[in-house]
Amino acid sequence: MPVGQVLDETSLVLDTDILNDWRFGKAYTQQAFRSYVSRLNRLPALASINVFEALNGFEKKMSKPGGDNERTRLDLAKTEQLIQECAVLPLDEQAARIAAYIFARLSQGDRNKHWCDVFIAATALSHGHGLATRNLGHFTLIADRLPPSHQVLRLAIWKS
Amino acid sequence: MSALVVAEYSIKGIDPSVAELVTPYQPSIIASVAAAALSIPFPDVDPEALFHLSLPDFGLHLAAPITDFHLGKDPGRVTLQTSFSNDAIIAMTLLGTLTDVFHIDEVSIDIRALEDKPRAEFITSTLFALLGLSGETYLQIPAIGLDLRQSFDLSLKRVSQRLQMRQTAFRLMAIERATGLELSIPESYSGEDIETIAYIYHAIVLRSFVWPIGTVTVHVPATLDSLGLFPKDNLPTRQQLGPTRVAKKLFGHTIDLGEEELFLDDAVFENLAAVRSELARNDGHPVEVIVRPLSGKGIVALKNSPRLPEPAWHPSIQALIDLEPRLNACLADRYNALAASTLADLTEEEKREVTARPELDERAFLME
Repeated sequence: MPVGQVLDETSLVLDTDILNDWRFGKAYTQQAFRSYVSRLNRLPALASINVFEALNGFEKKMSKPGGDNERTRLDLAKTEQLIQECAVLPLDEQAARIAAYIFARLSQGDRNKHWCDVFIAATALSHGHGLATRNLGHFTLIADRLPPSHQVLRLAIWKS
Repeated sequence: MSALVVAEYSIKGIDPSVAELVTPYQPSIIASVAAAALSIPFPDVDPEALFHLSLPDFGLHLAAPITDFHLGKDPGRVTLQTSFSNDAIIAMTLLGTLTDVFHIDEVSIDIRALEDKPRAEFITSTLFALLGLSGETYLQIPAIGLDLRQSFDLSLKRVSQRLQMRQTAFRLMAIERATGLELSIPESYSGEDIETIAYIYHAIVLRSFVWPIGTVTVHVPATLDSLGLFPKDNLPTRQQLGPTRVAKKLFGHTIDLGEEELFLDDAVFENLAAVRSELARNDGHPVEVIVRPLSGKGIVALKNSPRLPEPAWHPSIQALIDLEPRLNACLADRYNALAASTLADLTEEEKREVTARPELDERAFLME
């Protein structure tokens, strides 16, 4: 059972799909954040890869002809502010080791599809965190390939 | 359910961040002030003069005596200090321009605990979070005609850190109340200390609770009776360990929590074949057995841990404790609004574009 339940006091990292739904203002994420803060007095952490994904979206748009406009810059600035206000967990050496172990055991198709998820899960495990996601399947795939040093990936499934 | 009859066992956790280390130092809170002035010369501030702090969002009004008031060497600076129940002080600095009146441009506030006790930290952190999360704050000193209305636009991260410190301080208060100990909070403490505080707090308040468990190490005598307690295959089994006496060390004190039992619903044994082989030697030597719950959790039950008295708190402290749900809801709502603002100016198509996850073509990460 490499997927474990989160406990009341388990600190969480966000899967980028949850981060994006939160930025879209989806009610289920806002409720989940209220509930989490009520237990832990803080927000779930971001992984460095969440930051990469959030900023990459803006940079990709702004690198295209006509994509760099005032509205995009304004929301990029707000995204930067959100990142500043959140705890961001680094992809450290231990996370890199965990990711390497998992990555080598995925099929090429799964590597291409889930490479960001692998680094997010590895970051969560390295820092002793669980992970909030709406994609049980994606992270079960990863949890089935955990190294002996980290045998349980705790998942909180947040869905509408 | 099997019961491993062992006098002692040791648990290794897997969630080092049950609570995270927080930074105790917090710089001043600063707010700009629009159109406020004090008449000069300032009247004498007598010992009866009160400082009033009103936070309408939280329905809270606090009044405390002014313990110090003076015009600084720099004529553009007025400082005053007020003390809350000998636990916390608010030091306020009014920065402005001295002409025929004192025009106030900016207010700077420092909130400090007067001692390193949990109660002082709890009150200080509560005041900080209240100021940080209130939409409007009214600061009034009728004796000198001060009447300010402003909002302190604090970083949500700083407020969140103070709410975590507040939670830790509250748990320490509960531990003090239940055990009769007086605890001093060191200048810095580790994530391990915070985990110990969480464990003791749960033991006092809940007595039976789910706790993260990585592995449990026990030593059993190599006998045929012991061998009979172990499964032949390594399918998960329910296991009960203990009771064993538990004492936790915290900030130089040892806290006896009575007898603990541990219940694992999905335990497997590491190196089961080797363990069975050792036990089968039947010579009584101690065999180390490592048990691991597959779910990474177990239920801890403590029958005779210390308890909180009834009522546990003075009404004034209880009123601050009762603010917690509103403080947390306010923090979450602020974060929710900030997150939603990060896409607010974009069209639906642009939103989809900037939130698309990076894709790689099928030749990426090709490994031989």
